[in-house]
Amino acid sequence: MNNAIEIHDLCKTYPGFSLKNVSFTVPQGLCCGFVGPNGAGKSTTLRLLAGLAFPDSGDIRLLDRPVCDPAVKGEIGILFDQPYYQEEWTPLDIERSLAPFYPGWDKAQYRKHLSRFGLDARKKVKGFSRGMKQKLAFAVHLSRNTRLLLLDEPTAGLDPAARDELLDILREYMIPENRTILFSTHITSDLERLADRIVYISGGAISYAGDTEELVSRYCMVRGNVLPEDKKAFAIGLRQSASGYECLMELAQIGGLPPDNLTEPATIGDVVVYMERNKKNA
Amino acid sequence: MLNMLRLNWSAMKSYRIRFLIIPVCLFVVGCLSPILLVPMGAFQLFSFSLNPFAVEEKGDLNRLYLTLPVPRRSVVMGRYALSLLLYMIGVLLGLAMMPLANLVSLSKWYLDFKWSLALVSFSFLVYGIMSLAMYPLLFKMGYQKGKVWGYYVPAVFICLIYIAVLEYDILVGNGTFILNLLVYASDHILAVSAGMFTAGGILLCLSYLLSARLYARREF
Repeated sequence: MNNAIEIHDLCKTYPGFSLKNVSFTVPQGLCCGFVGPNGAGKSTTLRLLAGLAFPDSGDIRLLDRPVCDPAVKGEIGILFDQPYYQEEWTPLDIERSLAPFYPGWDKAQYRKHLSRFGLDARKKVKGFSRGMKQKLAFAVHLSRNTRLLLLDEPTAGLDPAARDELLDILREYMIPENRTILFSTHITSDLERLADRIVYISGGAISYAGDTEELVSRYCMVRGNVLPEDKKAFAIGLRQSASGYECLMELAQIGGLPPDNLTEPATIGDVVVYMERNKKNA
Repeated sequence: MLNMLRLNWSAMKSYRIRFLIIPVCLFVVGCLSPILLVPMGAFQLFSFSLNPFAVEEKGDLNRLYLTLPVPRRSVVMGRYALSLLLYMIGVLLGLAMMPLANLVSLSKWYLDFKWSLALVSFSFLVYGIMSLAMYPLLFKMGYQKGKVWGYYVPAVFICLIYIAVLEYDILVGNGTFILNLLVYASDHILAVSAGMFTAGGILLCLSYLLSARLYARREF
């Protein structure tokens, strides 16, 4: 399987923060969630992928081409927290301005998506809500027959209904097999609904890069009154109080826990939260 | 380049209405003296061409440009193309308004072809100077910071030079310095015009090369 995204030993240093040898791949045809706490390096990595910033060292390839090749952007859709369209533009202005850059622009598809998303083609962008602006951006990307979407927190600030709608759009986008999505988010429930793979970044370094199923099946949540001493070394992000304890633990380590302890499957959110807590406790 | 030009023009949508003010301002200037029309037309249209920089900070236009499948130097080339096009429109507008301004102006000026060429070449030289002063800084720093160092500071600098030249001229023994320059220019009008065109062209090329270099490494 070809990789849609290949990152090798990516390094980038800013005052007070640095990306350290970030490496991961995203195979074509998969949806990959990029998750991590605030300040972990998600947006920095995405900016490097989009060509908005330049790495100090390392290699980035998108759709088998170096990221510095401008032609690769013809097949990529990039969306940061909000689309970058002028507030005075209408969807028709956007089409007039951007379509000449993309030979594969499908005018009929664009109009169809505008209609489907309930976007007035003659209304100015400044009159759209946040969710409508996101949908407008997707209408643009879907009309260009892109093969890769790079999204930085696309559902941030949206109400649950709008978020659900956007996730449906992303699911629909993934139906053709050659399409790939990399999206960063804090909303881990979105990842559970969409992501085939997870890349977890913390403190500028990759902590995990692999299948979503493998990540959540590796761990479980453990709760109880007292954690045995011999199990404390395996507790991740241990939180103790007068009423008991809770922590994340690898499935392989839960044998020998007292019978009154509860175990339940971990979610991606649990893994992220408890991993981060573990780092702070350390 | 045509697509970038069209995109820059489209990005200025909210400013386009101000385009209509320019002929009115030019006419008012022409009422003082028609000779000011061509340089003022070039200056005003050049200033108008800075609007994409003003707009890009409001609407994150740089990120839009950088998501397009074009190299960064195309973005730079598009801005310069728009600037040059607007400059030429400014010059043509100035030349076209001269006969009208002559009817109502306080001073009359009837130029022949050689003097019109001198005016246009002088405007081109000023355009080249302003491009070199402003555009690289705008591409490097953005509009808010770039306009201070690229516009106000050079404007003050040019005013100081102008004052210095005038002061030098009125010093004892130098009373005809500017007059001598003008006489020399009028005697060699075609050569001086060619020199100003060439100098303006060189400055414009330097400006573009510097802008392309600075923008190529700018991070967003």
